[in-house]
Amino acid sequence: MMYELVIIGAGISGLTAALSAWERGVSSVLMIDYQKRRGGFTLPYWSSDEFAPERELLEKAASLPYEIHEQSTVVGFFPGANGQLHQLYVQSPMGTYSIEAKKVLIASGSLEKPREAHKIPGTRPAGVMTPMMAMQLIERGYQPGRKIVLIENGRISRSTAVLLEKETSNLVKYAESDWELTSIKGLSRVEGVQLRNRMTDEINEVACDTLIFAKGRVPCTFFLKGAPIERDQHDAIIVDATGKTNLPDIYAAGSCTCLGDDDHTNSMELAKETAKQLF
Amino acid sequence: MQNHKYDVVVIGGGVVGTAILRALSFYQLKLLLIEKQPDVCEGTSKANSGIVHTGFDAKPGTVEAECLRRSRSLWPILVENLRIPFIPCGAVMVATNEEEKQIIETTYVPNAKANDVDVHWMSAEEILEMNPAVTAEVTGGLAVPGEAICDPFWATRAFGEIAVLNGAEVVLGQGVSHIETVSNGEDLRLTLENGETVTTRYAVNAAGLWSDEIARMVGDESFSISPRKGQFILTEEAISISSIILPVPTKTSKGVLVSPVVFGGFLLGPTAEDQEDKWDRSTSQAGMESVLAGCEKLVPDSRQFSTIRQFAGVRAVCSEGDFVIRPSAVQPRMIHAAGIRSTGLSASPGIAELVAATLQKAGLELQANEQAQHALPDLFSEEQETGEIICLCRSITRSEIVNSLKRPLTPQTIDGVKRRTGATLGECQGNCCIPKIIDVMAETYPEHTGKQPLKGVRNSYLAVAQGEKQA
Repeated sequence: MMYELVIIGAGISGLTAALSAWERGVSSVLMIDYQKRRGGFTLPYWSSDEFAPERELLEKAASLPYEIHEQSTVVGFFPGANGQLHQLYVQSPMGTYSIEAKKVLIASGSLEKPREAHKIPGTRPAGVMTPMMAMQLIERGYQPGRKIVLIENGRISRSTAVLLEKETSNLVKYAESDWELTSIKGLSRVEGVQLRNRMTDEINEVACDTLIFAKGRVPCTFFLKGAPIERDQHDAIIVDATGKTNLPDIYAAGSCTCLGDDDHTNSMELAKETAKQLF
Repeated sequence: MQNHKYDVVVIGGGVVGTAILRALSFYQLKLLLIEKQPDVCEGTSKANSGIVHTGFDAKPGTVEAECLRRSRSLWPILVENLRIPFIPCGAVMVATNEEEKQIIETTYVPNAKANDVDVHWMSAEEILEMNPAVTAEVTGGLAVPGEAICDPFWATRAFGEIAVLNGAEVVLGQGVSHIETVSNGEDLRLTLENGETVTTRYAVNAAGLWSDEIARMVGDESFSISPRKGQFILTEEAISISSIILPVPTKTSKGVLVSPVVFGGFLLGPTAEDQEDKWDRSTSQAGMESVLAGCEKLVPDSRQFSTIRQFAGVRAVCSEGDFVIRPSAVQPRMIHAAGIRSTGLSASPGIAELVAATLQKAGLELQANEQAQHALPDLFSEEQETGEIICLCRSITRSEIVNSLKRPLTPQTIDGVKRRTGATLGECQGNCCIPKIIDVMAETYPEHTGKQPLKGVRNSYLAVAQGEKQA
């Protein structure tokens, strides 16, 4: 299988770029995505008001005639030297296959950085989760917990709070700008958290069975381990303002790049800019 | 389970309990292991450095030193038969001044010799060549080439699995609440937390931190166990060391070490904090600071390393100061395998041998089971590499997870799947894939659907099932 363009990731950036490619008349495009549905990791939040532009994007992208391989993950990436085709190995429900591409756009997004990356002291009980995990549990008919503390620090956590408030009345929000999470308590399940007021140093012990917290992002560039595509110290792909990587005909956009942001707010913009360069 | 009478019931499914179960499974015996947590390896065995010690620094003449000595010759066979991930990376005890060199020469060299462990002096140049990240202040050190690292969970699970394949039974998620003597003192009757009873000719007490409480159930107060916590930092930073880097212990502390991890990355730690609560596995700011302060003396960049996870384990400190491996004086049908402080993983094969010999001496007939398997068969099917990726960070496929769910010791928790596949161990720590693993578990075992999925230990429910009433 050979394509003019392979887009890795059918989230905000991937869909934006795909729409641009279609508008420019490119017909041979393949999209590959880890999830079962297009929309990317932030999809669960798209019903909140702050994700109105993304919702619009999804509606437009619904009519895209491009092939999309869902539940498919790139596990090997071999850039072609001297204008040769790039080779990608993809793991799917049907097994592993390889595809070739003249150009590749990496729009693989990012995951949330959990509590563990921030050295927050205390115990490690069940019930400590990121917004993405909370939303995925709700999708499956579970409640994340009975008394939830949510640390608000951006568009994702705000949207999660809005959506959770529809499900439960037992949600308490703390703005990260005011409160620092200093400890987690509980043996098997969360029993409480300790927060410190950044201004007054006041310590607040809050009883709860669930903590929703994430800060920062983990770029989904795991499949690039060993590949010669340059990344920064956080494993984000190094790109210029037009989405060019260090290798010809390999582009990257969105939160998997060094220009992306934790809340995916500039992903559309970056993807549009990158798409201009592609054809 | 309740209709049988067992020859031996092992209480506790840590590395010691499962090693004993494995050793006994080579004989014609009716065996049962009882573990109160939903999986094996949920106590001291799971949160430690993963080092297989030679015992070079063990006190000569102790039961511990003897078990470590026996284990040294047993590990190579176990690694091969059970395919335990094992790296013979060796260790270096690093000296940074003349005083530390003196301590090594006057204490550790003769001690290693008394335990028959091979050690030799290494120059600063040699140490730095093999381990460039070590402090430039190193003046030399003691090489212990026999020290190695392995995956403690793999070892525990594999010990249990081979025993199950040889006919042993394992009950998970049920603790022992009561023990009485029956049949005129010939048998023991164990009552489990759910009220079921089990009769057995012998019981082995391998209950780790709780082994003193099990001993009390037969009226034995000969030893007590107090918990000592060790905090660790796990990093995936590429540190240029190839051996386990040990400090020279002081009078008060063995100190913190930097060790490679068998699946990649490095461990920094542990602290040694005596506490009251056997369950307290919390980490603290002070603990992390003491790990970093200790490690930066060995590897100066330690403070700059990003961390993927921190954890604490609790080890059993025994009032007797040594392993307690003997029949209870009060109830000789109970054999203790207790007081296993920090070399439980390393010494487990030797402990198992010693316990089998102790049981024999106490009257248990050991007749070889000719049909017993010694090597763990390859239970992974050809399908291992198929199916979509579930754990994105670690590229773990659906089939790998399904395979792990079909092994002889079936995981019932997310942590059980984690330790059998490596899923959720990456940077997102499972926040992306745990719900997907819950789906795979429900598809593989539809009869479990609707049950609250557990993270690891008892009551560690991950979510509240819909329709459930508010507590």
